[in-house]
Amino acid sequence: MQIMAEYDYFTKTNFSEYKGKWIALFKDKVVVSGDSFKEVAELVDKHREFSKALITRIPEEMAQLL
Amino acid sequence: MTDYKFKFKREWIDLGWALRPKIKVTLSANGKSKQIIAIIDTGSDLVYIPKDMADYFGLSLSKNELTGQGAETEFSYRTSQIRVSLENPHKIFRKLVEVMVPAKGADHKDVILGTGFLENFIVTLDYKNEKINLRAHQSTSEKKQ
Repeated sequence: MQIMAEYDYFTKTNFSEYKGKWIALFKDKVVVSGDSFKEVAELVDKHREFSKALITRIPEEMAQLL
Repeated sequence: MTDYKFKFKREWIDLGWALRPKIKVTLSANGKSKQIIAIIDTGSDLVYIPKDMADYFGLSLSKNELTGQGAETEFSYRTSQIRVSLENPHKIFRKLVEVMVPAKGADHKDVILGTGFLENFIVTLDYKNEKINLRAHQSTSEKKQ
């Protein structure tokens, strides 16, 4: 299902090398990474081919209490 | 009824694997749109977005600063509105929702989907099978063009 391609990749992949960072996924690749959402979103905006990228933060490896 | 299906995300923590209810949503405001990962939190009242995300979308924030209760400490926040969308191959759910944007004392970095968004769905969190389903009523989803 094309609309979920990046989401499927996100759920199946370990991104521990990016912990603490924001990343943008396009198809099955990390195409942009940075220290904040804004930084990554603005970099994605400079590349029209990545307009459908999925942006997420990779958490530190510790338990969370929201 | 329209179903929007997702999976839990397995993330490694000190104690082993944690199952986190992370779903894909699209946030839109002021002509900008981004697909992002958000975490479902049935214990939160509203939708929370980090300050730099509000800045990116150019959201106008409320003048009044309110006080919220976080997991450990109180924090100040302002409110705004952003459009949140879900999609499956046939339907799109779109809703303008109120969001809390931290002003002081909160540094949570994830987008949190609380009751202000989840109240539109029957939410199923199937930890055993690692599946998430958000079931929207027919009238709230639009057919894809």
